[in-house]
Amino acid sequence: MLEYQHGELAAFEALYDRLAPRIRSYLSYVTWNHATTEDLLQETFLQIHRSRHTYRPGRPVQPWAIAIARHVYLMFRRAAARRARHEDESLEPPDFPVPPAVEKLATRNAVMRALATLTADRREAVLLHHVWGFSYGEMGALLGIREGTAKLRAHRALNALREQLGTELSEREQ
Amino acid sequence: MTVRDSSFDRIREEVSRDLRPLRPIRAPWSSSLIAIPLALVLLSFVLLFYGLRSDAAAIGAWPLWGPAAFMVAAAYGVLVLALSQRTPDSTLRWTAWILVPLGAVAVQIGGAYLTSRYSVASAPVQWPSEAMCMFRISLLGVVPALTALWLLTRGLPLRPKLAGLFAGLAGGMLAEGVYRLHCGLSHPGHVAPWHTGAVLVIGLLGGVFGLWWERNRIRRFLNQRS
Repeated sequence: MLEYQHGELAAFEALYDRLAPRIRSYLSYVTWNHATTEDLLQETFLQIHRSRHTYRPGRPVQPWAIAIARHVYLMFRRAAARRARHEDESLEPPDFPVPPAVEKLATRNAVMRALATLTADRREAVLLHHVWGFSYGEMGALLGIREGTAKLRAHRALNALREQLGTELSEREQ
Repeated sequence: MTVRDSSFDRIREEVSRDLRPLRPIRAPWSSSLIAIPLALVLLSFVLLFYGLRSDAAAIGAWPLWGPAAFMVAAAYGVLVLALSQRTPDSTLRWTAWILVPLGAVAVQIGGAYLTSRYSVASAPVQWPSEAMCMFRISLLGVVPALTALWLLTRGLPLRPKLAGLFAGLAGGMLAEGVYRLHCGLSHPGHVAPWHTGAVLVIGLLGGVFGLWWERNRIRRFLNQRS
């Protein structure tokens, strides 16, 4: 990151390779749309480039980059609201990680369908805590909420996901 | 794992166009040290043009300068909070919206009350003269508030309204902390509406700037995508 701040293109390329999978996962979780994810991924890296001076040496790069992705997503959401246009929540997310806490409960497709029923905030909580293992403190700092609130949000999100999977499984059994 | 795709070339091209070396943003506590020279400039201005309050000698050094210095220190603290928002991965909680302005008001009125216990009782002042305090504090607060907002715009706060509000509050608190050395009225009945009012007005203006900035960013985002 420091080499990138010093103006080295190779450092940017290495950073892209390292961060793009995570940022793509994050954006796919919150937008739940393949095209939007790819679009916002580009936008996020452009914003990272414009804001590269806001990274302070010694701090972890990933939360900083995810925070910028979150900023881009919020811009997108506000811009969409301004245009009175809603996201196309089509079920075609790109490759995304499945939370370990539920991967034994159902197939990947079933988890994907269940995740689609959650709100973007809850999907975000599932990804940050249950998939990536962000602590509640790190999650709170990123989202601007208290540690306790982050814990509650992650807990409720996982419960909602489990509930949804349970409903889906029982429907199938019937 | 390499995840480069067609969009990577476009991003790479954009990035390679502007790769000038950049210095990382400074830590908030360090950038906020600008509050010290600003306070000294305001102090020189107040002493030169308005002078110390008439009962300064009767009040004594500590009850007069102590609360003023404490107010400046509190302004520094609020400025640190505002500038901590420049890095996107450190976002203040929404409770800060309420707690920081309330804390600022408490420090201000508490300090004034302390000074008022030592001050010589003065004759009641009519409201147009009292309003002059609000006008002067607002005027003195413009420079520190603008400086704080300028420092803020060098970063990427995720909540520009909150960050702008805090930057404005810091500017207002700094101005009030210095101006109180001139104002001869320290009782809360005067300080709360006219001094605190001025600080809150500057804070709100900072918040309005943050709102404008946020809308501008959304507009630019829309333009880039259309």
